[in-house]
Amino acid sequence: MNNPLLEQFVQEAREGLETIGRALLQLEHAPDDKEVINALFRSIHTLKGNSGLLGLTPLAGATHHAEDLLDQVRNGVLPFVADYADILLEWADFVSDCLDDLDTVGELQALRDDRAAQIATALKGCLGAPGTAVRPVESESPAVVADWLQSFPANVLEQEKHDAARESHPLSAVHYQPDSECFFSGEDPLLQLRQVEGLRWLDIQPVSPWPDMAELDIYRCNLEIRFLCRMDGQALKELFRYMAPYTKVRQLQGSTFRPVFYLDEAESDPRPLSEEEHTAWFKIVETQRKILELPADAGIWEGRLQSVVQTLANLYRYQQSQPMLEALSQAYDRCIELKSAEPVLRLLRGGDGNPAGFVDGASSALAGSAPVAGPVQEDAGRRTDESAEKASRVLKVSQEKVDRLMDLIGEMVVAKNALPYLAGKAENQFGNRELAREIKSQYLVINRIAEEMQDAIMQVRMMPVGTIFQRFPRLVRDLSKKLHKQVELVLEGEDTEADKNVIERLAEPMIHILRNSLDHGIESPEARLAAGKPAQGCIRISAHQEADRVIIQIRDDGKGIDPVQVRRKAMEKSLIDAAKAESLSDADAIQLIFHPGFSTAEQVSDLSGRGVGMDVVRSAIEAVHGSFQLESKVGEGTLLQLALPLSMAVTNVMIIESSGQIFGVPMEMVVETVRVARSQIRHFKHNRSTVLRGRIVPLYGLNALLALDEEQMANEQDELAVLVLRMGAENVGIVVDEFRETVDIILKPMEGILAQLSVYSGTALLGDGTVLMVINPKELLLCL
Amino acid sequence: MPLMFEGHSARLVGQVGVEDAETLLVWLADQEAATVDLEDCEHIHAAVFQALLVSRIVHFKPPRDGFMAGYVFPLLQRERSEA
Amino acid sequence: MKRVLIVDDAATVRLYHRKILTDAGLSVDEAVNGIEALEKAMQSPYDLYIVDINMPKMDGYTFVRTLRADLSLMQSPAIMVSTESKEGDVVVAYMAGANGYIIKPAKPVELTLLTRLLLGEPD
Repeated sequence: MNNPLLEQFVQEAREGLETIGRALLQLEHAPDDKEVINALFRSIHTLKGNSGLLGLTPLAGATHHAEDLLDQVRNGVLPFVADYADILLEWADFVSDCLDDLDTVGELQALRDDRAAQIATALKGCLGAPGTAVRPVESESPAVVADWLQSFPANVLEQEKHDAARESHPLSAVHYQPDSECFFSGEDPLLQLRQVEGLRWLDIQPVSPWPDMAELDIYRCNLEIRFLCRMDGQALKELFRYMAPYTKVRQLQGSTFRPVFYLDEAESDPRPLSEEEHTAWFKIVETQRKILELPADAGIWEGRLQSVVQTLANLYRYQQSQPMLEALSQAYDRCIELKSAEPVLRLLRGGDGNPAGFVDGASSALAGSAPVAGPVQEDAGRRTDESAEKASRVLKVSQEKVDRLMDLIGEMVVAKNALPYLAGKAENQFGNRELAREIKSQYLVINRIAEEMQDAIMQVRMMPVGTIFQRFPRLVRDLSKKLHKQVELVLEGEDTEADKNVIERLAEPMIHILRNSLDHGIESPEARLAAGKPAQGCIRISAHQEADRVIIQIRDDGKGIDPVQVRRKAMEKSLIDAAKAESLSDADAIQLIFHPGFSTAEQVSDLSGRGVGMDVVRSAIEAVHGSFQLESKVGEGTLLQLALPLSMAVTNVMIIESSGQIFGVPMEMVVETVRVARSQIRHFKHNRSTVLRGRIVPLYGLNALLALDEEQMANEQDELAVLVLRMGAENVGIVVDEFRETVDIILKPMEGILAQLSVYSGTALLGDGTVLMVINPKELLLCL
Repeated sequence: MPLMFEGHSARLVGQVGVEDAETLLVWLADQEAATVDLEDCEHIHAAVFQALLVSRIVHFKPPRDGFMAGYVFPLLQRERSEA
Repeated sequence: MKRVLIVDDAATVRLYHRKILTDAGLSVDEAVNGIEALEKAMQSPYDLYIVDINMPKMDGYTFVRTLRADLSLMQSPAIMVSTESKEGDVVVAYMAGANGYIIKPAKPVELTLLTRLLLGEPD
């Protein structure tokens, strides 16, 4: 796809589908939830609008009918029933297919037309009789928020507005409800009020009724403050800028701005308009006239007049009509004086012999032409809705842009690493110690900034685990239906955040784990009842943060994993011999399910996975440097706990030398570095080992592991450098030539043909420009 | 000291800050009927204001400070008359 | 350069309008609902508002009404956009203080001309 609009569409539509899927599931439990219905309606509505914008006719058509259905549900014409969920889920699948088309070929496949028609018919079949489709009754429209200004006493408002106008003062109304915790941040609302100039009227009410003295928490602010003052809105907003979220300001009298009536250039030759310009120009004027003829309530009368006059002024400015601008300016002043729109209306109607030459009958696309049928309820359109998705002030940035930033910061980290080398050169090669010191101190500054930048970009990449959790309810619903099981899915801690890469790579294994749980863990309702459990099983997925790790637990109350069976199967597959099976504890035995050879296609049902086993889960988790823990009790259930790093962008590695080259080893795997005298090394056949702190540690030469011919070099005392690494429960020693420093690097994955070299997890650039190959020790030892 | 207690009466002097709110509240809670003298009080923190609002058994000696007398005191008085 | 605020909860629509308006040489800003639009308008006023009607948190009508009710803000032209006429009662839009009402998607040529006229700038 090379069409940004289409890309945006697909991205937004996919997000919409997720919201829709979630809402449909929620409605199955709570079919009357107005908030959910509204959210669902809005998502469908947006999707319809967007697909129309892109000219995707089948998609827009089918979606239109989905919207109609939801509109009837929303308006109470139809109750939400389970059948609708099924049809709408079918429709959602169709939308998803369409999006796949757009992703792959950039247009909808021809076969979508028929499917769209089928779905449209099904959706139409759900609709209520045409006669019953009425617009919502006013009282039923959701959550119309009363204007806060209405809580001011009307007589006081009138009097104050009148007085302020007479004395040519501005008048503003303020609603200020301090944060209940505000005392702790040093805020004193009464002191704040003291600074208000021209305070005219003040009222303070408790937010919630005052409790008994004994129960009053004196440090919680429970005050709702309303006042009128003679400051203009801008000054008030400035005064209350630190309390902005808790303050509503409205200037009621005396505008800060006057419409702009002057021309940008003094030349006053009117500009001739083209035919199209002419038509559009008159349409707008016509609309402004209509607006002024509509009744306006006092609260917005002046603002509306100003906007109309500004619109007209702009039209005259477009035309460069100096005389009209002057006439308009005078008419506007008269309006303010008379508190009536009549002077401007007269100008528009041509009553003042005006040169506007208003043409009648230009009915307009711009103006629409809805007749005023009876009194217009102002609130009719105010479908304010607090339910809404959480995202509001969010900037959407494509992954590539963030990655680019990451790369740049990575380069900066590398570039800054050159400074210590430069300092060394200044001192050693040019003998300039002072310069060297200065470079070093500059380095420290740049280093700090680079670290902060890194940290900041990491924050950008954080996303909540909820983004993958939200796919699960549908999965569980569909699968449990298929398997005739009853399962409740509980999600907790969806707001827990981790790096986008970590989160995204988690989705597949999590789905796999869930499938396994549903398929093998949770029993049939009959079996559960027989075992004395409730018929409905429960899968609980929870996430939380612990230090620099995200912990995800998947817990089910199913039948658990039987260690006896696991042992038997492992022996059948020749993964372990009988002796080993005997020696394994139950807790260790069940870990065998993560072994690559354990699960094979023949025993995998079509649900729990396309011929892959839990080893896929293991490698996916390890790929993001995560770890996992499996606990299970027969008859009681299974708990799988994943621990993942919050971020995987910066890696701390130790640099080591071997065979004249340098390599990096992730510090998280390094237990210690030791020097072992050659005499302390035991040989047994081809294997070497040594004893460290009473434990036998097998030793392997790095050169041998990497298939390099040379022997490992010892130091002058004939000691070998051994890097002790943690491999599961065991420690393993890797013999290298020499240890060097540890560095923070941005690990770049291997590219192209090198990507197949799994013994390396990636490369990084060092300060002096050298490329460092970073070893993946787990893979390295698999070479044995 | 912005807070001075004597028998059943308290005197608030100068600026009474948030740190005095709890002391005042505890004292007020112990009183059957109390008099609070605001005459020389120049400002009360909103927390102190809250303490005075909830105790409905107080008689005031009105403040001289303009803001206190014009805006804060009437609110305290209104609470009394409603109670 | 004249500043325009696009208020719409649909990112696709915002992108569509943004493209047309930036091509017309305008400085374009976006808000995803009325509340965000108000915050932005209060920070620094815009010369034109292009406002969707059905949005979460605060819809287009309420946004325009609140804008018009606050005389400390510059009262620039505002036009409402709606996918279809049934949803947006034109009169309600005008009562709320809008200066125009268009059906989306607006053709790029038409939207460009309309914008230039409302801003009083031929080019």
